[in-house]
Amino acid sequence: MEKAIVQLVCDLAAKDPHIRFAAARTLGELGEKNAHAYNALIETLKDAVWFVRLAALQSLKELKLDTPAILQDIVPMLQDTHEDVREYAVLTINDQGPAAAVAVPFLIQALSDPVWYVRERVAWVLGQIGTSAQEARSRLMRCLTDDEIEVRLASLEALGSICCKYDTEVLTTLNAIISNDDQPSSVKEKVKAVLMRIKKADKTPNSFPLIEK
Amino acid sequence: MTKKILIIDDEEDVRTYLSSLLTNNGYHTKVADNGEDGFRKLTEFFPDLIILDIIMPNQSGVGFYRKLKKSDAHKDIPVIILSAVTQYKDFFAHDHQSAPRPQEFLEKPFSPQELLNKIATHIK
Repeated sequence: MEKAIVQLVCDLAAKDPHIRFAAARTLGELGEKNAHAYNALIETLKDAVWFVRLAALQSLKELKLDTPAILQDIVPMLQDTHEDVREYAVLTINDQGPAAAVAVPFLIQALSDPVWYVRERVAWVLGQIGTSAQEARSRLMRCLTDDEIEVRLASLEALGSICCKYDTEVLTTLNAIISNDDQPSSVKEKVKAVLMRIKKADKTPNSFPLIEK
Repeated sequence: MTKKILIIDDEEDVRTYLSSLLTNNGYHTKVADNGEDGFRKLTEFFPDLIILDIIMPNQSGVGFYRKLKKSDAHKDIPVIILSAVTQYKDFFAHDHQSAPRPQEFLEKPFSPQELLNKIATHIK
């Protein structure tokens, strides 16, 4: 196995991007978290070809990242030139569980991504992070006027996971959407469901220092 | 009436192979080598099914799929994802809140019979 890994790591530097791609994917599929392979995959995140970077990211996600790598190596991928890599970086961050919270400030910036489905994915992940993502609250509220309905729906869902029943600003904004005739019925339905969720959830103002102020 | 299939793949060998396989099995095909080209062909050809690769230059299969599902005219066309990337399902795993997932996933290399079976399931 060690010999195969050494060869695959060498292949990550091959001239042909398809060989680099295959080597990056195979290292992930082997599932062996070897320090040499892990570091080589981290280095491959800087490859010139987007699908090689994507393959390295996919393999690192499979091998499970070391926590410091989230900020050092994955967060910069949120600004990758290719939207699929940016979207996959968001998914990789989400995969880290509670440790994903360190990336919240960067995810907030990523809500301005030029590609709508990356913005949608970022909003979704902020919702998955939940109350630890409360600093995203204001920015998510701005996303409720995004041009793309998918982004609005994902932002609503995220606000439902982040906010509590004492958050009057959010509740007022959500209620205003219900009475806004310009909003499509799917958005209004989602708002109703989210309002219900917020009111039922057992979250207290103590976990919301912004509101206490 | 002959059913129409749009093949979107950047590899010429794959396009040629698929086109000949499907033509020999009674389908009418058109090919595109990337997502943008695929979208142009979509409007003029209006296929009954799309076979889509993921890793392609310009617009990838992921971008094409998202755009397709936002188009009222084309969102109901079934899509079979055909790709060497084994993690592509991750892209669609959480799509329940917006677009539905692609109908089928098939990994390259694939069995021609398996592909034909999957096609037959979605276009009758």
